[in-house]
Amino acid sequence: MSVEERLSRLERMVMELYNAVRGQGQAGMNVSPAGCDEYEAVPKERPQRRKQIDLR
Amino acid sequence: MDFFVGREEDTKVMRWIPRAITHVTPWATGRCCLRCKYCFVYRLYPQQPSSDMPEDVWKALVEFLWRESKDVQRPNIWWFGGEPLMAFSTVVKPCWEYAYEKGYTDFNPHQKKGKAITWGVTTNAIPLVWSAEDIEESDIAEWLVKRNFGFLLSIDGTKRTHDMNRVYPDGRGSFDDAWKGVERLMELNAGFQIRWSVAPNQVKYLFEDLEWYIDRGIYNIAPDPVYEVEWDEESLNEFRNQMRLIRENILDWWKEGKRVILKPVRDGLELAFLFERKITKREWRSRCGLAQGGVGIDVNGDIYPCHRFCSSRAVKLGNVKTGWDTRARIEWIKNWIKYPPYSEEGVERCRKCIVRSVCFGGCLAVNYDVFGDPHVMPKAYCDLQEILVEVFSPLYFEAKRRGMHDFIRAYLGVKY
Repeated sequence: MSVEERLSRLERMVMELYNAVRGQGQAGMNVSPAGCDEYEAVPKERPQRRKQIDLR
Repeated sequence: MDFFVGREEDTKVMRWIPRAITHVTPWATGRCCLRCKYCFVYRLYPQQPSSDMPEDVWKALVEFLWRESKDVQRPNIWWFGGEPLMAFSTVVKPCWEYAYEKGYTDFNPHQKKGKAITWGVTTNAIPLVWSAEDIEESDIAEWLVKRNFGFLLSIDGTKRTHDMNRVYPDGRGSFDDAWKGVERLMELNAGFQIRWSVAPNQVKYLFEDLEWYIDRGIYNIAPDPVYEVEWDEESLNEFRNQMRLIRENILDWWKEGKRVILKPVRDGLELAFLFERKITKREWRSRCGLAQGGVGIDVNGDIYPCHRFCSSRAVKLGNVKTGWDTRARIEWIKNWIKYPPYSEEGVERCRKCIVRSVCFGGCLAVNYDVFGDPHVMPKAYCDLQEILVEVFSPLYFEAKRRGMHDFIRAYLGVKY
């Protein structure tokens, strides 16, 4: 098996691993010392862009 | 700092403020000889000072760092701007001489007994070959190398790529002049890192250009995407392709003795390493951009959370002449730790993100510039980070399989 094939296979395996961890596996993350989900404190309104660069 | 004693919430914040700083990144000048198309200074905040840092300010800057670094043995001044070497004779050189006369530094500060200020500069490399009055060295590069300055060179790949965005005010590309500076440093055997801004309009040349550098023995390169611009699906796919090409070659480069160090590779490897060790959370409350280790200083001596905040001048934390504004410093950190950083697309993306466990918010100054809030990461940042993890995580396991411990050690600073 070539290095390229091996790495591609590994990439698929790693992505499967990450996908498995997504959601329930990461439920314990970003939990404050008080035990609440820290994302609850994030403002509800969608952020608006005020500046960005146009390369043209 | 007595004024906040008794406020319980302020006392809690104080644990995130270290007693000493390790480095300052001052603007030597607001002037620059280039007008790069993606410049986060001039393109976002065109009204920049055209002045150099005055003498009373750079003297106060040295004293501020000496005092506030406390028992840190190698505090650092890393010049920024504008193009800092345009102020070589008015700021960089006399400031070093002042520190030398005070006994704060030496020609080789790394070997000086006791505490000593170390130095560096982020430059477009063009002024390195310029001569200067009142120096015995033949050019600015030689003067800096003789004093052990570190160098971060803002150069984007080869001439074809570099000249797309890094241009003079009249639109001419600057590569030919910048490369003279690189060659001069190589002639002087000086170490340097290439700070390579990767924009969507030139990402397709990344790997090819990288090979060009490696052929010339330049291995320490930091390609970093420009996050203040839009990355569409096509450019994201091209970025992924370029990263895969790097992945397929980097271990072979190392086997050939070419110890190539690339920042994006490290970002991807790191997550795989942490996952393997079941380390699933990074402390986002302690990081750069919070004035916890270093600060940015503008030409007036005003202190900011990092050098990138000097252009917006939005979060002033004091002045080198008068010292910290402790209330502003507390408020900045208090504001930051209210909630974690999150994606422009909302926390639902964060909850599903594979990078989430190690995400600490990208660049706070980019976030602030784009959204007016240091917590909000541009979509492009999230997209590109996911690609890095996706592409380079497998490399960690492949390097382990091949027993390339020196590779992993060099990238992650861990022993095997």
